Amino acid sequence: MSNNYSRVYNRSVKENVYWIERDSIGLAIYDPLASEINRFASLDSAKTVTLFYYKKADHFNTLDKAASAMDEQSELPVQFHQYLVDRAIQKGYEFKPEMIQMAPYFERKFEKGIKEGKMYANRGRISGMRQVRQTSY
Amino acid sequence: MIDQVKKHHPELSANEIIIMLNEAQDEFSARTLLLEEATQFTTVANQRYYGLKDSILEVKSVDLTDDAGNATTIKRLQGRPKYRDLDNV
Repeated sequence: MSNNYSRVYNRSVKENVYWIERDSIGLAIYDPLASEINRFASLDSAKTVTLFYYKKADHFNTLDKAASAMDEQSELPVQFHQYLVDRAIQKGYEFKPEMIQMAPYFERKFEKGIKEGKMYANRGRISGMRQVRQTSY
Repeated sequence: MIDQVKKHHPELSANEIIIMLNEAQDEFSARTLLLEEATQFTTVANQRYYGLKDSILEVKSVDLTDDAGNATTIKRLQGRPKYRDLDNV
């Protein structure tokens, strides 16, 4: 009986694979026909690997590390800088029991920034049709 | 930014404010996935594991350049190999 599979997988082809484990990336050649212990062998020669990733913004230097710390700019787009200030103000009020009622106001502002940041990231700097990513706002 | 925080909290030192701003940046970056970057490195023969920078939140994809200079996206393994080595990690 013939099957209707539109794609036939060749299970004997070696291919490069990667995986993430313990804050490291593993790179190997996957050989489905090899014994289990040799199935994920290391690459046999030096190769250039390009990683594409989401990252954290670079930290500001503290003043003991760099005198220029006062003038540093965040890597985040400029329209989101005020939300970082709001978060710092919120944290400051949380350390003062007599003024802790001020904290939720600034927390709400920061959360608004998070929502706008997700929308900005999802827009991907393109107009019209785009890939949709499921996001919780 | 530091001056703005100081208007509300004059008792905080500049370094304390910078640490708070860094924490805010970390949270903002992690929750919005706003910043993307690409970086390259060269593999070493007979080594499978390579450490990732602390600033990396999520790896989106990985390209490998072959001997002819063509970069191709490689597949991500679901899970991990049964046998693993603890060197270079």
